[in-house]
Amino acid sequence: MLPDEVLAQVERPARYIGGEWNQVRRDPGSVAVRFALCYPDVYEVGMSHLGSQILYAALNGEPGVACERAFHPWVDAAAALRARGLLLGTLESGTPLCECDLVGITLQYELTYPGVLSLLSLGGVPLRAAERRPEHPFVIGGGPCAAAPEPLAPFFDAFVIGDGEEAAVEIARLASALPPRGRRTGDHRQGFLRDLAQLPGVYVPSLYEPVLGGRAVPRDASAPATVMRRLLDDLDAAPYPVAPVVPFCEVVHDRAQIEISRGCSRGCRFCQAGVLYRPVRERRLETLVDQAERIIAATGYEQLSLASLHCADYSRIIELVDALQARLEPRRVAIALPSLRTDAFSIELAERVQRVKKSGLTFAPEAGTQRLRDAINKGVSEADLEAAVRAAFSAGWHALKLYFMIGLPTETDEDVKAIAGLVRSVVAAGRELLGPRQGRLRVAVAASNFVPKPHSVFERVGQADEATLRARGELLRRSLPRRVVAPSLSDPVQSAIECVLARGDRRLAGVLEHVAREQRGLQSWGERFDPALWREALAAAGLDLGREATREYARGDPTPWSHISTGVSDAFLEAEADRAQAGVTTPDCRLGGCQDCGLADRCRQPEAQQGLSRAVGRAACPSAGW
Amino acid sequence: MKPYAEVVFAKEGPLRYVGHLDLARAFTRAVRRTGLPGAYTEGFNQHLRLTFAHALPVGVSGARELCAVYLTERVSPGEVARRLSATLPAGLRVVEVAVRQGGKGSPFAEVCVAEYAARLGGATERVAEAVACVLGSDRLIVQRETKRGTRPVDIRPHLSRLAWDESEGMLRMTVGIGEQGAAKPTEVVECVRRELPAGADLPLLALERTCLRTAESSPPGAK
Repeated sequence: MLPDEVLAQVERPARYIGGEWNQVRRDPGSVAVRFALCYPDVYEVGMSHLGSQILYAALNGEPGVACERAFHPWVDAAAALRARGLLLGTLESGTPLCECDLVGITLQYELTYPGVLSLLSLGGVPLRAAERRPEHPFVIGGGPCAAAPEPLAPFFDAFVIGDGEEAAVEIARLASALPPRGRRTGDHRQGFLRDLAQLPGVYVPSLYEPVLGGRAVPRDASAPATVMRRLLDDLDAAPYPVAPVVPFCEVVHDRAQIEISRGCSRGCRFCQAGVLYRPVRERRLETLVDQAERIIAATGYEQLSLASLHCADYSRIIELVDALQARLEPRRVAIALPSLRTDAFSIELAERVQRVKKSGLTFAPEAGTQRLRDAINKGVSEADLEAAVRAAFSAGWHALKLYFMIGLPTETDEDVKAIAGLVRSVVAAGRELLGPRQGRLRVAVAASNFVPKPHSVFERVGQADEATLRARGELLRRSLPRRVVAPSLSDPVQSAIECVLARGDRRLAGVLEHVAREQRGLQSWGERFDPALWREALAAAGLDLGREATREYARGDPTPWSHISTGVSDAFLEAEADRAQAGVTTPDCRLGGCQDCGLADRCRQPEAQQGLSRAVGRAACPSAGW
Repeated sequence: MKPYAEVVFAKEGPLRYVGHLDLARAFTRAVRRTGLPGAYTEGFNQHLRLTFAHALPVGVSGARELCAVYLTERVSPGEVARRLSATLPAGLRVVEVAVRQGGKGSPFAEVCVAEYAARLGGATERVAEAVACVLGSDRLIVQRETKRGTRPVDIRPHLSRLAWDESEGMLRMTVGIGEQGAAKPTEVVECVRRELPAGADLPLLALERTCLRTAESSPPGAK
C-alpha cells in the first residue's frame, strides 16, 4: 500500500490500500521466494483480469512462495510517488518491486507496453534486463502478447508463452533454489536464465541474437531454436481461485468468475485467441458447479460470470446453466454469459439466465456482407443474425449493440455500406416486434479497426492505411440510418500503433522507452493516448508509423515472432490465408471434423456437444422448439 | 415489520480510505458470506437491505459507526456478532450488536449528533487559548461549498462542545450532523486555526468519529 501522505491526496485511494477480503499475506521471513504479480494498468482493470487471479492462487498455493500484487498507479499517485522519491510496492506488504525475487507482468494489450516500463521504473527495477545486477529481480512476462514479445524483449528476463499456471509455479520453484538476494552473483543470474530456458514454453530473450524484421536465433546451445507454447491438457486438474480477492472499490468486472472452457474451435481468421488457446479444453460440469458454490461462499458476490471465448459452445451448457441456477438462485446470485454467439440458441440461453432484467445484448457479425464474413470465416449468416435479433426482441430485449470491424482483408466500400443494410433490417425487426414499446428501441453500432495479430491467419497482411480506415469509418457513419446513434469508431492512429507493437521487432524497445520517459505510461486510456508522442518516438527510432503498420510479410519470410510456436502449423495458417482470399469457409473442427491445424496430438474433444449440435439444428430450422 | 441487527462497528486503519458506497458493498458481501438470513429488497434489482447512519468522509476513521442489517427472522445478537466478525475484512470490526424490531423509516432517523477527535500537530501550545476564543464567539462563519457555489454558513449553533486535551494533542468536539444542520470537524479546526497568530501551523494529523448518537441519549447500541 501507499503511505498516508500520498493516500490523503489522490483520487480513489481505496485502490492502493490492499487488505481486501481473501488477500493472501505471508510472513516474508518464512518464504524463499517473493513474487510480485503485476498488471501494467490501474487496479480497476487489473483486478478484473481472471488470469491474474488464477496465477495469484496458483503461486500462493506453493509452499515457500509469497505472491503479492502490484498495479500501475493512476497519474496523480504516480506523480506523488516520484515527487517524494518513493518506490512502488506490492499491495500486501508494500515491498518495492526491486526487492522481490521475481516480477511477473501480464501482457494483455499492446498499448499497456509503456505502462510496463513505467511500472518497472516506479518500482525501482532497471528497465533493461542487461542493466540488472545480481540482487535485482528477474522480470517475467506472460499473457497473449508474450507470444510476439520482441518489442519488449530487452526489458524482460524471460517470457512464458501460453498457459501460465504451471509454468509460473515451476519458475518460482527454480527461484527458491537461488541463494538470498544479497548473496547472488552474476553467475547465479546467468545460470538461472539458462535453467529457465529449459522449461517448456519459456523464452529467454538474452540467449538469442535478434534479427531485425526476422526471427531471433539462439546464441546459447541451451536455448531451443523454437519455443513451443505451454499447453495445459487438463483444465480440471489445474489450480483455480475458489477464494479470489474481493476488491473494495468497484472494478470493471466486479463479480465471481468460473472458467468453463479455454480455447475456441470456430476458426475466425482475424482472431489471435482462437489460435493461441487451441485446442478447446473444457472443465467438467461437476467441477464447475463445485467451484461456483465455493467461490460464492468465499466472496459473497451477487453475480457469477461464465468465462470462455464462447459460452454457448460449452458441450453441456444447458445442463450447466440449469445446475448453477438451481444451486445459486436461492443465494440470490445472478448468472452472466458475457460472450454469446449471434444465433437464436444463444438468445434462448441468455433468456434462461436473465428472466427479469433485460438490459442490453451485443452481437458481433464483424462484417456487412456474406462474402466478407466468409473470407474471415465468421460462421454467421444473415439468417443467423436475423433469427438472433428476432429472438432477442421477442424475448423482451430492446437495446442491441452490433459490433463490426473495418479494414478487414479484401474489404471494399460495398462491404462497409452493407453494414448499414444489416443495421436497417435490425431496426425494422425491432419496430415490428416491439410494437407499442418501439420507443424504447436502441440499436448501437461499434466498429473497430482491424489489427493483424501475430499467429492469427491474417498475421502477415498489412493493416489498411490511415486514410482508408478514416474514409471507411466516415462511409459507415454516413450510410447508417438516422435512427441509429452515431457509430463508435476506434482511432486509426491508435490501431496503427497497436499493429506496429503487435508485430514489431526489438527496434520498438527504444520507442517504448521514449514514450515511457515522458511519464505517460497509461497510453491504454483514451484520454491519455498521445499520438504526437508516438510519432515522435517512432521517428527518433527511424521508423514511420504508416509504413510499419501497412507492412506485409511475404509468405516464407521469417517474422519477428517466427521463433515462437503456438503448435498450429504454418501450412495450416497458409492454407487458411488462401481460403480467405478465395472466400471459402472452413468448418468448426468440433463439427466438421479435424482440419489438421497441427495440434491433433494434443486435442481431446468431448463427445457430447449439446450446445454446438443444437445450435446447428436451430440454424437449419429456426422456429423449432427445444 | 422485519427485525434488524443494529451493528456498531469500527472502521479503522487503511480502511478509512474506503468510501461510503464501497463500504456498503463490502458490508453487503460480508453479510452474504455469513449465511445469516438477510432480508432483500423487492423489484428488478434485488439487494440486501442495509442502512448506515451517516456517511463517513473518506480518510476519517470511525470508532462506533452504525449499520442496520435487516433480517427475515430474529437471530441472537451474539450469533450476528460472531458470524459477522468472521467475515468482515480487517479494519472493519464489530463493536457490539443489538437485534431490534424494525419500524417505519430509517432506524437512525434520530441520529443527529456526532463526536469527533482531531489529532493536531504544530503550534499546539496556543490551542487552549484559541479554543476558548472559539467557544466565546456568537457566530462562527465558514465558507462552505455547495452545488450552487460557495456560501457563508454560521456553524456556531451546531457546535455544542469543544475541548482541548493537551496531553494527547487531541481536540474533541460534539457537532450536529444531518439535515437539521451540521458543523464539519474540518470547519471547526479551521475556526481554531483562525484564532492563532498569523503564520502558526496547526496541521490536522488524524481525524476519528468517536460516536454517533441522538440529541439527548447516550450512543445507540450502548448498554
